[in-house]
Amino acid sequence: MANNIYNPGLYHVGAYQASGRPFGATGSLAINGTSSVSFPFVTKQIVLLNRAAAGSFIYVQFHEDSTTANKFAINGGEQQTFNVKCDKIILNSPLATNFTLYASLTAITSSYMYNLTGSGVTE
Amino acid sequence: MSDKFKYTAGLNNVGSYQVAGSPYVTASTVSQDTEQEIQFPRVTNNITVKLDSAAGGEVLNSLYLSASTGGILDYILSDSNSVGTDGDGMSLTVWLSASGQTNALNNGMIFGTGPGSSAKCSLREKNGKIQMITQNGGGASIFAQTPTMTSGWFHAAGVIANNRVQIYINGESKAHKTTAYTTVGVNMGDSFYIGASLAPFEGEYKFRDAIAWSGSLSTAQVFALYQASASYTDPAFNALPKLVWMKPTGSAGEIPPQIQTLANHGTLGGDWFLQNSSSGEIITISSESPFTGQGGSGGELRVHYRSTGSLPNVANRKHYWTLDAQDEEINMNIKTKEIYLSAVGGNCDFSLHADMTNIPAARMYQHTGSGVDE
Repeated sequence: MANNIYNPGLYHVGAYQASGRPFGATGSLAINGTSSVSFPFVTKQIVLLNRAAAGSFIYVQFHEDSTTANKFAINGGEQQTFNVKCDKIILNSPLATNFTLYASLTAITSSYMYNLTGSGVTE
Repeated sequence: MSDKFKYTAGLNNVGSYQVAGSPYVTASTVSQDTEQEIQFPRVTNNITVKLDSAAGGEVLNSLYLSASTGGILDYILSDSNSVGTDGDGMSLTVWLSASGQTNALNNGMIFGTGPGSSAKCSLREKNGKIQMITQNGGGASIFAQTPTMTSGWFHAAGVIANNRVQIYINGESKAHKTTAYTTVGVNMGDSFYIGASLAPFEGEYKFRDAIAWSGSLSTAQVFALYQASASYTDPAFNALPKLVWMKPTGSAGEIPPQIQTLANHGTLGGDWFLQNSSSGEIITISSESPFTGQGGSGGELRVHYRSTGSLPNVANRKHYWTLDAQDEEINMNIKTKEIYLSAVGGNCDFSLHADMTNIPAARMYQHTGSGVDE
């Protein structure tokens, strides 16, 4: 019977219109540290708060091979909202920092998500 | 399959805007009085532009160096030999913050000449004290010292003159040594360092306005310099010729290789070059500063949807959004295939992220008309 279970696809509009499933994560980054947060379902919104003091930046990227130009900087004490679909987010920082993250997840399993690459991600 | 049978979403396909978009992230610097066009591979749904640099005046960030026990970490000035001759005096001034310091710098140079193991004219920390130290003609050390401060910013100044070695904290003389001593150029003239090369630099310091002065500052001049803070047009900054002057102009968060070299704003040639470092050490530009009214790289960032170069109405009629404070941002629910950013009054560091639809950029028309370029 398991083969007859159908899941919504990546472009199923209703999956993004319905309220999402919450996903929370709090962590820390060591000096020059990297942290990857993987989501069990495709996201529709991610909110990231840099809990460090001003001047301690967290850089956000969506691929391990993102260039310096493909990283979004969040200053200490600031938060940023990303309305994007993805199955993981990668954080790094030159200084020791703390972060807290909230995501709203769709009902689309992360295996449906393609590997993000190209302009604005890795080039 | 031929492309003519390949169907893609159209520009007005509502569903394409209702699903979460795929991310597009970029960060860069727009140089003063220039414009940067960013083209998206697909039509956007939302765009966020954030100004990372602070506007309004000179960058007042600091250089943050922190090394573990036994660490070697130093910037060296690439052209700094033979700065002293017999009979010359020299002064060193620097704003320092040791807040949060966990490793006591026991015998390491902070700023001055010499490779560290034989500091010749330098400010160094030893046993919880800050010393202004030099050597006499026989190579023996002469120093004046005072307890260091481990919280907040302070202004350290060391002066060497004939028969006098003196140290000041926050414009106030803390200790001096008068002895039958004549400055000896061969011992003073050596490479300038921030941090230490041969001796461990185990400290955790933030540096701002590290200046080596060609000559001996008077007590009044040291006090005037302390009071002048970051007012670089104040006469106190012209008391004597400045041989070297390290004041970071980069944006907070920059790390090597972005700050592999730091500009020298003094009269000696060459730049500061990161000579030694190892993993785990902190080498970065900090937004912390000893001064209030933190400035930035000076620019305001303008966001618009047509080029200012070919369409003067964009600028003349102000069809743009302005970001002029650090971390200020704008979120735009806009469909577009391109966006323009221009900087006025200074360079602007920015970060941008967008969520893109699955609609190819080729389907998007170019924005024009009222509110854009008319």
